[in-house]
Amino acid sequence: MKSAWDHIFSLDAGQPLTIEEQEQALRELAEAVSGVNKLQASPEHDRIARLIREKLAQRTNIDEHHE
Amino acid sequence: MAAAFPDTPVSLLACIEERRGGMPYQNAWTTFFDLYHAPLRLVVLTAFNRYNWHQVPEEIVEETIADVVVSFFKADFSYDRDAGKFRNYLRQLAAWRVRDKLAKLPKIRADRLESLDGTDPDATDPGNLPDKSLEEVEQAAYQAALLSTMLEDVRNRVSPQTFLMFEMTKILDQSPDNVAEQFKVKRNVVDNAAYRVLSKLKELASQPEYQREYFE
Repeated sequence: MKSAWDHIFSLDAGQPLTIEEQEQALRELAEAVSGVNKLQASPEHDRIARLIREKLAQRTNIDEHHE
Repeated sequence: MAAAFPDTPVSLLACIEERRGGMPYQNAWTTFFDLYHAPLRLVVLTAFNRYNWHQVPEEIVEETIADVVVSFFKADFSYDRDAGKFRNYLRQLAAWRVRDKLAKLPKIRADRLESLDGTDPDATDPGNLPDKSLEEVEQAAYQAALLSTMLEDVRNRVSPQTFLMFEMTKILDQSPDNVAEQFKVKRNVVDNAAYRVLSKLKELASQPEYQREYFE
């Protein structure tokens, strides 16, 4: 089924949305953002962020060593 | 004058792409990872799937996601928007990092491939998603990340008060009457805030850079 955002992305910039389409788009947006926020708050997110930080620091040290 | 008022990047993607003149480096990677964690996970799992590894231990998945983000921000930072979609670039990076990981872990891979019976409690099974293919799940996660990116973009295009009223009522699901009371404004100001943000999002959705990323 086509989502409200599929519809919005298919519209020309000036085409208006109905009240129902606006409400549906806002509900779908809230669902999408809540999902992203939930993952951000997970232990997995913290573990990977820590790994990224360590790996970036290692790379920076290597880069500096080579310069 | 130009130095005093540098160009505002059109989007987070542009901001990351032009990171030397965009947001501070630390903010760029954390914001990128905050928004794109789910699609990154799925492109990594899809890449492992292509090597017939369907139940990847969580530790290896997380390490590989970190490798993709690091390679994006360091040595391999080479995304060229004229060359193709950002999502395809992420898929390519994931494929390379998965290949690297498999090359470093030949014994583990062989052991895991021998036990594809689903008994490993630490394994990540991307196929355990009812009625949806991994590609459909990846598409939905990417679209959610893109909508969140657009919302971050809008955050800089409306007043902090407008954005906060929108966030409290439409994302955090607080009562518009309570929010109006907290801000000491009339109820219609709160309602208008939501529609101003939606209107800005709709404008962004008509821009080519978001258009081409939204649809597969």
